[in-house]
Amino acid sequence: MTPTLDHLLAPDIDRQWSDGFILALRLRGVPGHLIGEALAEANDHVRVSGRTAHDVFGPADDYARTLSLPPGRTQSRGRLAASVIPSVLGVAGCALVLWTIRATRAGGEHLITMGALVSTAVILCSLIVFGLAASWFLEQAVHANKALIFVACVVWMALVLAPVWFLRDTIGALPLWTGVGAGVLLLLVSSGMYVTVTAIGDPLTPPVPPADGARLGTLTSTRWIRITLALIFPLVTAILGALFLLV
Amino acid sequence: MNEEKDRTSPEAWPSEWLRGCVELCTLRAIADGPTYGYAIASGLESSGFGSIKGGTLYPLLTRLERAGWVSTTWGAGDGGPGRKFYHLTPAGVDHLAHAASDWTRFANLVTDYLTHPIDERH
Repeated sequence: MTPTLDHLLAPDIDRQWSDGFILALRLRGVPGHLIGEALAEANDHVRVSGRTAHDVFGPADDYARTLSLPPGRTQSRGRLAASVIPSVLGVAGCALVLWTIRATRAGGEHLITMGALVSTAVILCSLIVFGLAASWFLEQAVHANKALIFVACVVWMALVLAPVWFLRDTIGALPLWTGVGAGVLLLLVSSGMYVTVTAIGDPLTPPVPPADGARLGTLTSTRWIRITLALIFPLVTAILGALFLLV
Repeated sequence: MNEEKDRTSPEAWPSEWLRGCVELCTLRAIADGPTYGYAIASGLESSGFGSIKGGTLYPLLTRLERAGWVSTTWGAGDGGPGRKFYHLTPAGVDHLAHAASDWTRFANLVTDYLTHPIDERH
């Protein structure tokens, strides 16, 4: 099994502790290279002392808090927003292509209702807000009351679905090739941004470059993450589109 | 029972006493040359200060580095991903000298106060 990057940085630390430590520092906006250093230093102490990370440092979350490492610039809103835009375009492109194909299969043009427009706007705005305050949302997901999270999700789904149900006035129609063409264009722009523009997070980096090539290969694998992300929306659209046409 | 506690054991030092001197003693440990976290902790323990938790030591080292009294370099560890070495900066050397002098005066004051009869002080 290929070891993950955090395991390479802390091979002697219990995986649950290191995962909790990384998550706690990520939620505080600490840059990847500082997390890598803190993890490697903790690993060195654990390795030499022969004790567990929990014995030496206490709970991972408490230790992450007491270290008081500074948040980095990589968490700036502009950068987070830039990383959300490809997802927004991908969702919009996928939805446009599939809705148009389904409407055409049903025997007509894709009729655009006011409700569909409002729902789309709610989804896009939600993605943008999530991108701007991703750390806050993740922190709530980890620490907030689970019942409260469930209620928030139900309210959000109601906000998305209610307009489709109540606002059924048609405000326009989209011919097949116009809808599919616009959707494919959005998908292409989304994929292009994933490959060229988007920063894939802020990867953990080791304080000392690894000596062997195999490990270095694993550490630089974010290029493959970019390519995989770039292919997700087009693949999902192609599979669902084919299903719509065949079924 | 508190009365039965071994008062000669390093673990018996009240934590508020250790909190007052751990920063100074850590700087002193680093002054002997580039060293790393575990070596500092085990050195302090073998000197009689008791076990210094990683959750105390490393945040303290981070604060010393941020204050400019300590600088760090990374080197190869014992087969691990790396080892962080701490060095005193010139500002750290000055601070240690002044703080050690102040501590000695303070410790002497406390000792003097505790060991002389009350009526001899005035």
